Amino acid sequence: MIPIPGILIALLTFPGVIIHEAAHLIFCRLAGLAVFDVCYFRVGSPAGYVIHEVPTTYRASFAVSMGPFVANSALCVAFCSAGLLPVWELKLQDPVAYFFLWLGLSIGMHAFPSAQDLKPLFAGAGPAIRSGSLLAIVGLPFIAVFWVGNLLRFFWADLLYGVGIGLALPAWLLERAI
Amino acid sequence: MCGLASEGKIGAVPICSRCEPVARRRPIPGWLLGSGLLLVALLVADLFWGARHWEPARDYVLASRAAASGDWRQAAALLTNVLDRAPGSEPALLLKIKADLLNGDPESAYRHIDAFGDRKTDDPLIKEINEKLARVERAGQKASEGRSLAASNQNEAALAAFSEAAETYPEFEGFKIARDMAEASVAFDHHDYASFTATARRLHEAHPGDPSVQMMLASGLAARYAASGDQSFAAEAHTELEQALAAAGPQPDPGLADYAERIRYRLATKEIVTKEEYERRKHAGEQP
Repeated sequence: MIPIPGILIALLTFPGVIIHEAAHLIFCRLAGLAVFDVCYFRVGSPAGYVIHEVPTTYRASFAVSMGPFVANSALCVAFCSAGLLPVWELKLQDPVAYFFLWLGLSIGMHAFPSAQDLKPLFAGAGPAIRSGSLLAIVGLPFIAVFWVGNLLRFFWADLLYGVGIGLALPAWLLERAI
Repeated sequence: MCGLASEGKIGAVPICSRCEPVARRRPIPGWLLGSGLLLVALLVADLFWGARHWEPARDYVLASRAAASGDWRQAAALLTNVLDRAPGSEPALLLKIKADLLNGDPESAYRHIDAFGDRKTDDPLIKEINEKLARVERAGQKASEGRSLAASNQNEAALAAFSEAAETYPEFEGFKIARDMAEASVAFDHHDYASFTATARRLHEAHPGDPSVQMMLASGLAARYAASGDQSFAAEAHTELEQALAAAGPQPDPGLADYAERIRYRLATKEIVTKEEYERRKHAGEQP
């Protein structure tokens, strides 16, 4: 394992941090939640944050916590798709392709919800399940997976996720689609 | 948010009346909106830019599959398309070289080797390609020997050399043709005009567009006419000769035109003479 300081990783992948926090903000606004403070990017830990009002519904909590995961994952797939074919399949040394891959992977690496993002989901899951929320029932295993994924960030689980959805999965699908 | 004492609260957070509407509808900063627009523009550019790699990537996947199933002709054709649009693709170049070599097209393989240049790679295909190239070069040397021997009328030795070339690199049709032609020449030397004609006919059927092969057939038929006096051979020889000349175009290769003259001489004189004897008579001004 190569120990690389988190600050350096954040610097190298800053678009992902900004998009993650921007997605939090957008989902807060969509859920009608007040936002007290936002930091889109900084050289520090955490590299970005959004301090918002505590959601009153599990659905709003879920949207705010998982919104960045959906947004970052979708953008990761979209940006990597252009670099995937020339670099992965054709092994072309094209700087434009590498730029799009860097952008896609930077965004994909920050798709995972942070421990802080997952806390309210765990806390709210029990009462929501008891009140019969299908979202809470279906979402709980995913939240557990994300929680484990978060712990595995030390082992580059976030990078692996980016490579997985940005490169490996589309390449696998491509092979089967042709 | 502003740090001023306040009676208002959002949840458990105290907030002043001035900050509350800002918190309720947090503005998206201009630089973030601008970055968002830039991201959308990049996304559109990314999709358009990426789309141009779709066809070469698809053809490369299909070519790899064709190669894996042993269909090197199909693989080589697909890889030509790939390299037209992605000439820098190293795996496509290497696979194309291998496909060309296995497809009996060393000329194209050497062209792509030139395009590959002196790049360094640890691709295992390099080893395979080098082994095949060594085989091609060995066969090429033997064929070259065969040509020299055939030029000095040592047809038996030429046949042996061409046979070895064809065995060493069986994928190359040219060596098989050279071997068959040498075989026919040996038959001709042994006055076995039936075998010569049969070989020439087989070659003509396999390569109907090749005027030199068709002329060889005419030559065999003319020899059979000269040896047997059977007019049907003469008629067929004339037909094949005219067709071969028509196929050769208005300005045929001088060697081919000369060959045609020798065949005509044979048909007119019913004499089978060596090329040297024919040349001597021609220069002496002897007319049939």
